[in-house]
Amino acid sequence: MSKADIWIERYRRRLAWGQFLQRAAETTAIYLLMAGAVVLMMKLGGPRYWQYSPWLLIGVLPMLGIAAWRSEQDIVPYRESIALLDRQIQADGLLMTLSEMSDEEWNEKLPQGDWFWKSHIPKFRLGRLLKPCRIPALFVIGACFLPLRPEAETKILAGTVGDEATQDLDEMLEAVQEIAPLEEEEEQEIQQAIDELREETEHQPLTHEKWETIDSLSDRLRMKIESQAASVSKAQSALQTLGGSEGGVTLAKLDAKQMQDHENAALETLQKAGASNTIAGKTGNLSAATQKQLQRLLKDGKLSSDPSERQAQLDALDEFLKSENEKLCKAREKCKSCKGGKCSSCQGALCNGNGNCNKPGRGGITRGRGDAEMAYGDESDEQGSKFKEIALPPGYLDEQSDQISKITLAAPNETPVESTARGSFRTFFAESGQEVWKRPLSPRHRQVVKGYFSKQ
Amino acid sequence: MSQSVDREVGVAEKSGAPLLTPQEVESSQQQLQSLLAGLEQAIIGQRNLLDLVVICLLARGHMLLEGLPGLGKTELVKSLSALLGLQFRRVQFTPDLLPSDIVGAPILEDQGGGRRLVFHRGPIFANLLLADEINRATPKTQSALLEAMQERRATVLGETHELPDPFFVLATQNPIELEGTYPLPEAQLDRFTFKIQVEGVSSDTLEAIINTRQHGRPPLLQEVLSAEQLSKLFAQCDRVHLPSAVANYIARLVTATHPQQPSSPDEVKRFVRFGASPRAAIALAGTARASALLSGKPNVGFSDVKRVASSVLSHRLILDYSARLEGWTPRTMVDRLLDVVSDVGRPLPEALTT
Repeated sequence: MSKADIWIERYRRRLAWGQFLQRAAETTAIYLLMAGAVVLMMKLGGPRYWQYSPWLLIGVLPMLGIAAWRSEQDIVPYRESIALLDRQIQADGLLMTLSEMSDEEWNEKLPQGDWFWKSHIPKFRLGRLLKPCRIPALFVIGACFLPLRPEAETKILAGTVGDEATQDLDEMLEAVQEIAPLEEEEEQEIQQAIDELREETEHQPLTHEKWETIDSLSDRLRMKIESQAASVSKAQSALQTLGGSEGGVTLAKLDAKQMQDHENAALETLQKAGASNTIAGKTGNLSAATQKQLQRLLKDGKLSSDPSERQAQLDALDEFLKSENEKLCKAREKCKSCKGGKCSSCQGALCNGNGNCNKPGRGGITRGRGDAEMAYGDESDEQGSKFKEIALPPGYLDEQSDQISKITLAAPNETPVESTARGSFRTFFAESGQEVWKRPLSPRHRQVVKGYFSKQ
Repeated sequence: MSQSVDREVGVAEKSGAPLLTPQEVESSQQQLQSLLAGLEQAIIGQRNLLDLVVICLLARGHMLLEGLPGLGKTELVKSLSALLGLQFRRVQFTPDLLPSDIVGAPILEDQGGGRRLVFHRGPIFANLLLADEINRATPKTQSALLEAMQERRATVLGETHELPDPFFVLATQNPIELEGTYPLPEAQLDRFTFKIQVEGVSSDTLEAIINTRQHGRPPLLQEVLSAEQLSKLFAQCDRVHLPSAVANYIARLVTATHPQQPSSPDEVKRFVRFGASPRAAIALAGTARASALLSGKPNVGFSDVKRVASSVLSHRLILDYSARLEGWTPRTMVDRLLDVVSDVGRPLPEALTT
């Protein structure tokens, strides 16, 4: 291998490296742009991912692989390499010729000194090499220095509204179970509906239909509470009557049948509670004597005839009903549709005793999602304000082509042509006769017309 | 070195003939320098023109000299014939010149008691034909040269006559006084290897001419190259090696003259109607070889191609009318091409510097 061959090989290797570094710079520039964009997104959009940003450096490796592949594909061919070197050493084609045709005599005419060949091997230009990476690198550095955007404190998670709604329903069901035990079948049905709702709203937003389902279940449970409340109220009223009669105030007015009805009404709530649960369980916060009286009353099914004992039983019943009333108040607080017992239908119903809210239009009728608070009786702000006159702009003809053909003293007595075409031709014929007479006169002409006729 | 190239390139030219030896190159260069020295005695201060004339001669190409009257075009050709010792004929082209006046005609003669048509050779049957003011002849007469210039033979009445070897047509034409002239058609122009513009001379040259020429008489020239030596020079010119990278450059250069090529420069796309033919590429390669031999090299380099490109390509480019309006000439277009088309097919990677 001659000296020229050795230097040709070195020259080719240098060209290959130059090609690779050039491609590497280009691909790195592209990668830096992408990495900068990712860093920017991390900083602004997802600060919690910023901790993973060092992994972006690994992406440089495949970029280098791509650069190697591209430089391999685009490598300077052997012929062109020698032509470049030939031009470099100013051999004027001799090196190219000797690479194609061997000749010892001419080979000796090529420069033999290593320093000569070495001085003509191209050098790397760092500045030009890094030129494509400058702006992308600045972009990345700038993106890295950008302050992290603080993450939102409250997380808005999908399905939260649905979760809350189903949770409220669960609490309501539990509250209803405490005050008015449901039948097992009905309880399962409601529980199943709540579970299905929870499952459906876990990953999907609440729709109108699901809101309707929630409202339906909520109303159903609320009606249970209302029913129990009515029962307690009725029992309290009966007990009040009985208590009054015992005191001799209205005793003379009540016959035996009425007395029996009041007793049954007063005992109904107690019997309902006793049918599903033990009195001890239901009335855990009552005194032992009261519990004993209630159990006896439940066992006998009627009030005792002994006055003193009867009074004790009535007191126990009163205490029991007050206890039930308190439970109802707590249940209403849990009921969201009742607004914590402050809605127009609940407010004062049991908590305040009489159930009259004195609010118009609150008949307990569900009017759908569009229900809104209505205010009656207030006047509009514009009521009574003085009418303001506004001068209208001067009149003008509808179209430029319109003109008044004739003005008569009286309405023209012109009969329309019988064969007047209808449809599109109608507008043409309407330009004459009655139509013209009725045409509004523009205000600026009114004075002229008025003057003309006054002279006449 | 050649083994490694064959292995990797696989397209290296294999002409079979070995490279010219340094001695052969030196000998050839000396002979050519003596020819040039003789020409310089006749034509003073036009070294570049003379180089091109000798290059065209070595490439066995025909030459069209264009220039104003009195610049020595005819004298140049006459001097060349005197220095080469070749058979020289001169034809002054006029509008009434007929093809038979150039090629020759059969004449009825008495021979051996009978009459027969005998072909009388015209002035074309010479080694060196000076076609003076060629554009003054009719296209019909101009076309009589077509076959002779390309195939180096003439056909009359179905009989083909070979022209002497070597055969050169050296034509001149005047760019002014165009009334009553017939511009050469493109096919005719394409057959001229070179079209050389004979420019005016400097005042120093004029002074030298005034001092050395009495009554405008040219000096007597002696033969410096015999026909045999010239033939040997032709053979050596053929052995000048054309590297494949240079051949690629010639191909790209000629291709770039075509406006429909995507790689051609914008100026070519805008102003050139028709580019150079493959004959131009062949002429470019041949004249580049001759240029290399004149420079004393066994091979063609990029510089040789650039040296002859303008003379080979300029008369083969047909420019648009808009080019004339924009001030473009074929010569400036070729110069533009030489600037735009890189000699090496691939540039040095940007990351490297020399």
